[in-house]
Amino acid sequence: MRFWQRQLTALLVVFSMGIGAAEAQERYAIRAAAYLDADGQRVENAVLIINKGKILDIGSDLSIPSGMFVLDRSDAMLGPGLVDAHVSMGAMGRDRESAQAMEPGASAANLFNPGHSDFERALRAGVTTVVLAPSETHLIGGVTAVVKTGGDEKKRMLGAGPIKLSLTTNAFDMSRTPTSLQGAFAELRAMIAKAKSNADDGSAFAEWARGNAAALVEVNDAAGLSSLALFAREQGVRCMAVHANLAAERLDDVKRLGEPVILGTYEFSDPRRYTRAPAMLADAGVSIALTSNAPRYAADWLRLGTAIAMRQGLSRAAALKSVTTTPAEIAGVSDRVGSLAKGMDADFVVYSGDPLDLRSRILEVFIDGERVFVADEPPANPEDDEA
Amino acid sequence: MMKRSCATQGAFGGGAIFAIALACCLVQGWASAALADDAMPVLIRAKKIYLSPGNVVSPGAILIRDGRIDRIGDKIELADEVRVVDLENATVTAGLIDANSNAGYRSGYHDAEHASECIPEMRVLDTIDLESNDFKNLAKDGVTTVFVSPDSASVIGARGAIVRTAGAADKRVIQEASGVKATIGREPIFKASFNRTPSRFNVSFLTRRPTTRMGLVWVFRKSFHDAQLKARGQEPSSRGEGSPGDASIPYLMQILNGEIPFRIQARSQLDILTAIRLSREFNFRFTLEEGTDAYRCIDELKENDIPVIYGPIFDYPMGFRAGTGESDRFRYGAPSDLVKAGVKLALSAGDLSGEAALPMQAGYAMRNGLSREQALAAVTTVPADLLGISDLAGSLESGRSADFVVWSGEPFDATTRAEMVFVNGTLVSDRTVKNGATPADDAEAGSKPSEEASDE
Repeated sequence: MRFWQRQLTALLVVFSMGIGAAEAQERYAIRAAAYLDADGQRVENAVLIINKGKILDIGSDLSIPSGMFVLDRSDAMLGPGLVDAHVSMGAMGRDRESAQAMEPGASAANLFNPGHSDFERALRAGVTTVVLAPSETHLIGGVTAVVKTGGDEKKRMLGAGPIKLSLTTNAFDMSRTPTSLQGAFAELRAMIAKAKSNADDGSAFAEWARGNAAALVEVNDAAGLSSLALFAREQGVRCMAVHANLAAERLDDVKRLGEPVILGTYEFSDPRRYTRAPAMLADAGVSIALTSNAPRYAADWLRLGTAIAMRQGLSRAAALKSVTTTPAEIAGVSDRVGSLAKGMDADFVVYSGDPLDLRSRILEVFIDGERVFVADEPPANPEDDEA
Repeated sequence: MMKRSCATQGAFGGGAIFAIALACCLVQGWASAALADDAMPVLIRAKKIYLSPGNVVSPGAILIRDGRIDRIGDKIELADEVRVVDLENATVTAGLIDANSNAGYRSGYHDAEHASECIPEMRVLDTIDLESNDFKNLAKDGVTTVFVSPDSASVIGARGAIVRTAGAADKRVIQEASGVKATIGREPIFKASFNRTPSRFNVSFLTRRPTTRMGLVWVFRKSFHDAQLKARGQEPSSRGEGSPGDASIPYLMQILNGEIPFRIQARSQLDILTAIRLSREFNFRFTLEEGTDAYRCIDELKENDIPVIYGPIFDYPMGFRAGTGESDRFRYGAPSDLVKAGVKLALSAGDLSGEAALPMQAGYAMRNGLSREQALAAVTTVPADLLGISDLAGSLESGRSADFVVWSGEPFDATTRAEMVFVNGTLVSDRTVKNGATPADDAEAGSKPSEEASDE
């Protein structure tokens, strides 16, 4: 039954694409009421020109070459496809190799299940690029993978992301060693020393050990951040704290880490000591990325997180960066995705209004210039007319 | 403010109260000014200052400049402008030192590594939270420096850390990894994890010794024996089973060579005598921790020149201590007996706080025979000496960092409390204001609890 439902959906998508006919075009343009630039500023009368899946040009009132196919979205706004720096889409429950605590050789690329419905849900939420990460039940979980949530299957795997570590209580139990934080640090020190002494070791772990690459490190309390900051300084390694929702209580440690911090998932019932973190960190000059932690939470919680963070004082520009350019930098693909600019991948979202306004609907999603999601007709809403 | 200050009368009981109350205002003003980088030196005058046990000035004064004791004594000539704080009825001692604390351990994490029973390469500093409320509570009780002792779940445990209980994070750690702690008793056998008998279904790294005291001593001896073999380049005989990991060998050798401090937690007479026997076999020096039954081995302790970090003193063993059955023969007079016999004694509150905190421990020891000087030494100079930080803490001398306690009366009396605590010249705890309310104030405050709460 589910199989046929999926086939039917696929068929519908193909039909709707046919109607748009944009995908058949290598070069085409989109006209929209406005778009959001990298600073979160609204640029009116947007014209976006696409060539072979890349952004050829974008600006206000650009002239469109004659004869070029034009999609008219004059009543809608364009925003960059969202990026989520820490998900386990399509891999729930399969992201832990439980025999050992240390899995530096594991690769989340092996978890990539392109046909999984989690990715369809991500598209629906405007999320176009994600970092697939091994679970927090491992001291060293393995290397993350950066993938697109839709589009041409051959192009969806962008490559390896940062290596993932975890210092949460979940990484320790009595069935395997190390069983404690001090045991973990002792073992990491030994592994780092070994990697540093072996110049031929080109593994992701060795690159991190030598300070050439940053790692994602999951923590689950404020004290974990402090321990991490101490360890990072001692060993000269670069660490990006994940789920550091109590970062506001250890601002000095976060600054000492000197790397972007991943926060979330935020929900309305979260206490202020969590939700104030994005604004406080951004004010202190720390780059922040929000995560939905999908599929544990819906991918749409990424936008919800921006709203909750903005409520506590996060600026528009910082809010947009936290779900686009900063996670793209963390994933190492900021030269391709995360903003609407010349030369970037044509990954963008058509919104019914301001992308940072939770009332705005996601109407269409494009990846590499190809339309991968079209929303159903919205139910009539009288307030839309007022807006 | 006035109204509240007057209320301190109850606590201080006497005529010079108003001076103290006024002084509190001054200190309050100064503390906030100091935070605002006001570099003005501060002169504190008190009724009595214990420079070190047996060395008292009365009245006395301390001049604090840039977080250090600039000058201290009965009379200080002032060359430049200073802020003067008069504490006419108060007594000052050096900040107390607890040489066997469990502060900063975090819930949810194992406090010890269970991968092996011999883990001297591990560091307690990796697992504790320096921002924990434990440290704030210690500071309030006048404890300014602690040795955070490794967990007792391993036969030969981790290395502890010497840290200040308050102040800027980067100045708090005095020694990242100090002494190694071993435990002789029931705790390595049952704490956090039971070592197991092998069965068809259950063979893991926990299938190991010790499950009895015989096994415990076997692990202890095996660790040092194999360390000596490996240090000589020889391989241990028994296929490496139960052998210490390579990473721990250097630390075991440092213990045998007397290069790092070594302490053994033992409570019962049996365990204390075992520790002494092992120290003679392998020729290492150690400090006895807890030592509930130490009064039963005074001759042996004296003969082998073994210092004791005694305590906590308790009314009745509770919690895991009761579970071990090792603390049933506790005696209030033990500290006094040890000191009288010439055993070097430090007092510790261990994991206890509140009415069993370190100043009260000293008070209980005094109640049972220790003089005030001896009690003061047991919580300042002796632990400083045992930790190897005598040049940093434990007594008040010019040039040292200004870690000291202002007591409302004679230290360790049941009616005395730590009114103000300074670490690195910064006021980190001040009870003179908040707790100085009159009963009338309390009634007032009590009638509107919701307003108080809503400020948070």
